Amino acid sequence: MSIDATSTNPNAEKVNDLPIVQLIGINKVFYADDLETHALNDVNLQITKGEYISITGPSGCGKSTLLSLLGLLDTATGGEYTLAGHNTHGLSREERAAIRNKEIGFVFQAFNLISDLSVAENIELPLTYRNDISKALRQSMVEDALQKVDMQHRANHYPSQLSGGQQQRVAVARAIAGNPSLILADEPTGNLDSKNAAVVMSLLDQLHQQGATICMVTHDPKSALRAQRTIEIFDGKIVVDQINEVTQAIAV
Amino acid sequence: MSVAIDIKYAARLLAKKPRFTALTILIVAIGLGLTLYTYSLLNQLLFSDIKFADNKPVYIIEGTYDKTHLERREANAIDLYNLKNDTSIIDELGLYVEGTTFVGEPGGTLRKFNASYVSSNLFSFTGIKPMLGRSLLPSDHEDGAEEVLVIGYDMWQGYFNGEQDIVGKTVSIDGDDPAKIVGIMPQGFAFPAIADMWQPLDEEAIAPTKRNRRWVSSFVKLKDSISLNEARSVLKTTNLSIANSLDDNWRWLVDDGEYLTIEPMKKAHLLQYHGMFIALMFVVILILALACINVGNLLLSRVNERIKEVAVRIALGVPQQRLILQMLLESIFICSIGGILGLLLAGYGLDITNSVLRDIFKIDGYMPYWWSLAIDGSGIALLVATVILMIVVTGLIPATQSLRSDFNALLRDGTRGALSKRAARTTKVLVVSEIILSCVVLIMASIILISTYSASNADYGVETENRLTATLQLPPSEFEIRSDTEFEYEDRLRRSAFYYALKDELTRRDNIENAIFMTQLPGTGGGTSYFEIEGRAAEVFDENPYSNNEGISHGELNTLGMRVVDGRDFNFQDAEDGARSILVNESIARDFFPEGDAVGSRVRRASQAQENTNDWFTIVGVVSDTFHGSLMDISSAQYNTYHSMDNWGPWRMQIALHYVGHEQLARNTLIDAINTVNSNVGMYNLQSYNELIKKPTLLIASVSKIFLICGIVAAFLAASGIYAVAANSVQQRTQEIGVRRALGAPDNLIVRMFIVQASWQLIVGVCAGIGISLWLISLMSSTMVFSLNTLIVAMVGMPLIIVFMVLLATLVPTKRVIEKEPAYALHYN
Repeated sequence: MSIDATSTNPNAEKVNDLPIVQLIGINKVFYADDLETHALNDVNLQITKGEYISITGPSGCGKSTLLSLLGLLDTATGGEYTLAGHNTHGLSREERAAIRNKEIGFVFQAFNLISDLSVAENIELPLTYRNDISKALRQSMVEDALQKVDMQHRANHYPSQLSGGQQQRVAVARAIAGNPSLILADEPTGNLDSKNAAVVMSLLDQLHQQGATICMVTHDPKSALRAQRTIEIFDGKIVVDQINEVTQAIAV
Repeated sequence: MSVAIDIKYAARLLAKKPRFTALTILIVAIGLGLTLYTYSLLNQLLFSDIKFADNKPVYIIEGTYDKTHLERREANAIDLYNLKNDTSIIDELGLYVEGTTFVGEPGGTLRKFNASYVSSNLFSFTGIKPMLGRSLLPSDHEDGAEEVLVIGYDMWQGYFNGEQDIVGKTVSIDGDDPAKIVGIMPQGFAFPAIADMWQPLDEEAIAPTKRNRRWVSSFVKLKDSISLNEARSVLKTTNLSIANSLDDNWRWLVDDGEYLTIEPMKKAHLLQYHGMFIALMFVVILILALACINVGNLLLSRVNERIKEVAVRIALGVPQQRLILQMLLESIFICSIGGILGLLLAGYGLDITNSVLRDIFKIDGYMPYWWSLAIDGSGIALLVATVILMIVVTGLIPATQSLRSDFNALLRDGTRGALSKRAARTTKVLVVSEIILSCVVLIMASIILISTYSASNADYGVETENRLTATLQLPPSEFEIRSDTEFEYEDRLRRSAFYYALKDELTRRDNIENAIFMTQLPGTGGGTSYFEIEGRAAEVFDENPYSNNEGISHGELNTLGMRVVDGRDFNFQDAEDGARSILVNESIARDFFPEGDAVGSRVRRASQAQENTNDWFTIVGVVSDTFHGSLMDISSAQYNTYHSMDNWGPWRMQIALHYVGHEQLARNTLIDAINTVNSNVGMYNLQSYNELIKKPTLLIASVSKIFLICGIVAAFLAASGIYAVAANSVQQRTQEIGVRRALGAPDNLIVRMFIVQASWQLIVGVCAGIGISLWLISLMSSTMVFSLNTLIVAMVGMPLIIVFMVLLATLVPTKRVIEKEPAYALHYN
């Protein structure tokens, strides 16, 4: 039975009136040889501005696929996806790249910093793909981002010279440097020890408190509970979409 | 037992990927086959020493190699005599002069043999005794001694049908000179190089009492305590001492301190091609390196593919040495099988080369006896050592490289992203190395190939179809050379008269249109001597123009399609004693007499010694351009002057016939005509004009075939290698492409990023490749000429092909990654 996420979440519209993400009837099918795999099946989801959502579910349930679709890293087989007012259907590769650049910030499980670039250069990288930002402004945005993750002192280091936690903080800085509409985090603490994981989670909390919209895939129930809202996926379908009371209490 | 399991596992892995296995074995086989082939070729033709029972290397001491004529120069006999007696570097020294002797009864058919006129100690020098009779004795050199011969086994079997009582028999040589056969040397003996028979040098050459025109080469063994460099140093001092003792007539002998030289015997015979062979060696080494890199890259990619499996094995506690052995086993299989195939390939290549060499020297028989190629023990040792080296380079290095990766990270995230930065650096180095090596090999191969093709198909300014050529040698007993006597001019006229008589006899035959005589026909010979134009002499002799000079018969230029374009051809006036007339070719007239005033102007030879300074020659005619020498030789001449042979009377001339009908008929006609006019005149090197022209390029052509194979191999290795390493480089950065795209990088920026990186690699690689190629070309350019067009095609064309290959190898895999969704690249494993 399909569960309409919007209908099972009556409080969603109370968080904010402006939808950043709107998924309607999204399907994703992978084809390998003669095998069809339905990774996502009729997914409907709305994320409003300022929301902090965690996506959970067992391995292979489609969480990462959903995140890839949300991040325009992949295209849906069917359905409609509107991001920050842009209907993503039929967009060219260049238009999708531009939207990813401006509207989305990614935080990956494996950090995915580019080893040949310094910390500052890694953070600056997505900004260099924009033509409307001067070099001075870019540098100022990099400094701001570094400040937010408390990594100013490591600006000229290379990723290999940093610990895992520090690398993930740099990845967060890279994700927020361009003031995106949506931050997508794929298991952001998956490669970290508990202490570093806590630091990164706190960082996401802070970003949320500052108004960022965050969508995080996680296996960790504790991390999931730090979000306002949790979506659980099973066999490619959203089976749970609920407001986290604990988080609400913390927020209050 | 556990090693047996590893061996089985490695064999199974190779069997699972038959195309990969076949490709890598093929690359190794080609690399090793070429290496072994080239080593065997160079070792037997050039690098190994000639040694006899006493195991001492044999050297040649003679005059400085003449680069303007591409000829070895003999030394003045008295200088070698003094060198032996006055210095303490020489253990044994023997003398020789290469010559041609005709053997046969007067009036019968003469047969040409390569005769070495030698000092009698040649036989004790080699330690090889005659199989029948005796060798030469010191008394054989004495004036008035009976003329004696020692003959080789092949001559005994081939010409004398193995007559058992041949020793002691008297035969006629060079017409009707009687000479007694005193000994037969064993099969295969041809020392100093090409001897079919041995004749004693005269006493004045063996023990000269004063400086005279006796020119000889020497074969020597140095004293045990003397190295080659020490000997060179002594010769340098000796040359200075000789220079100081020379009077004005002989001052030219030592040119800028250079005169007597010493070289290992094999090298002395290949000085003209030494640079080319060294270049070939470098090219083959580079191809081997290319093969190593390609196989190494393939195995490195394979190790990278299995990196997670390696990580699991490490986690399971397998000792590192065992892991390295496991990874090495594949390399051992590939290199060993490749080595065996390489051995077969090299053996096959050497067989072909032997038949090519036999073909090249089929007509003149000038192939040194050691030019018989085979894979010897040192070749096998080299092969084994190279296989081990390849195993280390292609197996051990990737194995140890991979073991330095962060296996914890690998096991944790399981992606290639965890591969160390070192791997990326290694790949960059591989790409640049591929570019450098490919660039050098393709440039060198194309230069040699284009040059050989051009030389073989060049327009030498003469008609070559239906033309037959041969060399004629007059018997000294009948055509005396009484220099500096009242008979000198008379002797000259008699010699010239023979050639004209032969021409008349030939043109009486129905199938012969005409015949011309030249000291060296166009397409052969070649050399340069300076000449000064009256009233326009340069201050320094070698700043004057230069030309090649030939003697020529009169009235027969049309035999070769040559023509008089201004003035006249030689005629009877030019046969007068003291007549000083000369013909120049159009190039000289055009470049040095642009006002059209060549005819009537006077020129003379210009030399350091200012010899014959009063011998002014008047230009009586301008003839069409011809080209002497191979177009690949530095001695080849575009400027040619011709002297009349009539008042010169050379004792050896080349003849060219214009015939109609079958070539074989023309050959028979020539032989018959010579026998009709004078059956004691020797004729050899009978061949078509096209064969004559190709002869100087045949050795280079055969080497160029090796270069062609090298070129094809290099192109294959370069194309596949560059594609593999460049694609591997892109593949290693697949995740980075995904990250950049996730961050919003447009496709064109990513493509540009890879193109920029490839461009830097290209700039470094191509510049280094061109630099190395220029150095290799400079090694060859002392004896070979490469046209500007050839250099442009090679230096621009080949790098452009490489640029194209690299850009293609970068673009295709990059595009392939970009075509897919970023999620694919991000999760690429």
